[in-house]
Amino acid sequence: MTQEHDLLRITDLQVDFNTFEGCLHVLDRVSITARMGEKVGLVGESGCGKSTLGRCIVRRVRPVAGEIIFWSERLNNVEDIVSVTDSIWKQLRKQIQMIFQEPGAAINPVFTVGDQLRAAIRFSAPTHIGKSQIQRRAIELLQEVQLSDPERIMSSYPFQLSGGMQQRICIAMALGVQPSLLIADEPTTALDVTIQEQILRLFNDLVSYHRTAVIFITHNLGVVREIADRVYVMYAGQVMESATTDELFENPMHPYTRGLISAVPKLTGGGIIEGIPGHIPSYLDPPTGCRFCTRCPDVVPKCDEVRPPIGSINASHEVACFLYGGEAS
Amino acid sequence: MATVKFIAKRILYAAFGLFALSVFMFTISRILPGDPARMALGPRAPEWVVEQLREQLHLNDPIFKQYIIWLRDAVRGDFGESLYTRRPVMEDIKEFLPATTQLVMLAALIQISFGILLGIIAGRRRNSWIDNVTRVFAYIGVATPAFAVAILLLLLFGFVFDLLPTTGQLSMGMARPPVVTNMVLLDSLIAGNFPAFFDNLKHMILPAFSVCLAGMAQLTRITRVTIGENLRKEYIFASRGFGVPEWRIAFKYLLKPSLIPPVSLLGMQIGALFSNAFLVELVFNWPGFSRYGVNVMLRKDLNAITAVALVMGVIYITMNLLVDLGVGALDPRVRLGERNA
Repeated sequence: MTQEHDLLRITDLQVDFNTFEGCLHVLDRVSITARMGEKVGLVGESGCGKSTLGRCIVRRVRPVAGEIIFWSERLNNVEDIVSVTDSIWKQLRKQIQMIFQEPGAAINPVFTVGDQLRAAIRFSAPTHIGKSQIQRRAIELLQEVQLSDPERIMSSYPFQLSGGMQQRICIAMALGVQPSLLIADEPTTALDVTIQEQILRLFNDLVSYHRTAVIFITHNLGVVREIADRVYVMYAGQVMESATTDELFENPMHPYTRGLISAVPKLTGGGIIEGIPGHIPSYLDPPTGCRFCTRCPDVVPKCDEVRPPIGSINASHEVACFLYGGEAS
Repeated sequence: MATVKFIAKRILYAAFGLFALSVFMFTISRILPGDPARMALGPRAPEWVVEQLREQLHLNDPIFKQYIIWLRDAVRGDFGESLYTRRPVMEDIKEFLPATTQLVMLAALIQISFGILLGIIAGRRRNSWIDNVTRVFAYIGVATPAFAVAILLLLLFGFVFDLLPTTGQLSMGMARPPVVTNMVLLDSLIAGNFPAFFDNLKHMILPAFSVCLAGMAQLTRITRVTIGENLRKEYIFASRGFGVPEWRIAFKYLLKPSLIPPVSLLGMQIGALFSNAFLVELVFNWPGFSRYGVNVMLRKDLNAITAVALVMGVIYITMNLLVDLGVGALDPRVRLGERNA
């Protein structure tokens, strides 16, 4: 069973947000898996729930149904099935690190970089380690993320450093904890394009080197192609398609994925690229079936009533669309 | 290096503030209509006597020279004679300022410790019963003027429950400890006279609470907001993820950034403490500086008014300097100068 090797398995996750306007159905039966050391891309437009999914994993958002299994421990409480105890979660928590979109967000503005980096090393270590050893490791980590003059960086405050440097420090801190899963939530979106490329390459090299599993959340298909082994395409809180990266770009099947890929501007192509007409449906009252049905060029009548089942095209390619079989039940 | 520059700059600002204040106070005392010499001697004094006093007070010199002379005396603590009590203003200050200082210091202590503590608790448990209780308390505290609070407390604890003394510094029959600092609390401690110490403390409870209630309420609210805000910040979340113990997060990584706005607010509240003391001292018959200030103003005792305003100004500017340095100590962006946010 391949499931045995799954580091993270999320099944039929459902998230609702209660607001003054009503209940927002943000995630609708989302299932994803990540194996040890695997780099998983999560693509979708802004507001499709991909960040919420990341937050569910670290228990910042509580799902209403479904399950999240990490290292074969349940992370969420649903109905009468109880999740891991707090003490186990405390240990597991270090295994999942996050990198955020805003580079400065994860660094406390009133402490030096060194203070926080050393804290990350000290408190995540399984046994007590000495001060000099912590210092050595901190310098090592800063060198790993290719920051020159680590001593100076350590005594600096975040506001004295550029966005790119701050994001490198975030990566250094996250890796310093030696997690088995890294959730990167649009880590390069807020940076200059030239810096984006550098950080992305650095990130990719480091997670490959440390064999850390990654969930890479982005709206940028180009970035996904560079980083991910496998991609999930999300739309309005539903997973539309998943496949290995090569397979997805060579053979996109879901109408949404095809639209997404053709919407990427190409250097060779002329003219303004074609987008997907229409908008994301309201989360207050989304279609009960496929949420893409309001914009889909290949829509059939049952689409907005019945959720298309997830069908396997081959061992590594799944798509949730009536175009590829699956009868309404 | 940047830190030294920051401190030097703040001290320089404070010094400039003091200088400007002294010029202002002096100018006001000299340009107000009326001849101080004539006012001091009364309408029936012969002209040559008035002229003599004028000469003595340097009133015939150019105003710039007068300022230098006045400043030279003021720095030595000589603010001239009170036109009413006929004794040096400095003597009055020495007598009345300590009582207010100890009152305001106790009030500030209560305000800071309770205000910030309640704010932290409310911020960490948003929308719990304790948050709601502090919220109601804060609204009442902000909305009620200090003298109203004073009268209410006086009636409630002084007469209805009869728990605490309501007037003066010491109970009847309690001997005043020998004067060292003129602060009864400190003097009784120096003399080892503990009954007087606790008696004085008991007398201070009601006035101190009246003085600081509004400020405490503000401080509670702002601390609650910043604590609550920072609790949801990614960096606190990240610290948890590193496995940093919860108490260490609470007292280090959460508290330090959250204290910056409350400490800045404190600078503004110091003035309010003294102005609250003005009325509260009257209500509780507290023989303090604020009450003295009100009295001299009502009597148009010019020398004394100038001195009172100047002393208040010195206290205010010094406290604000301390607050500025405190904010600088908490916030490196202030201390080191923000280049790019």
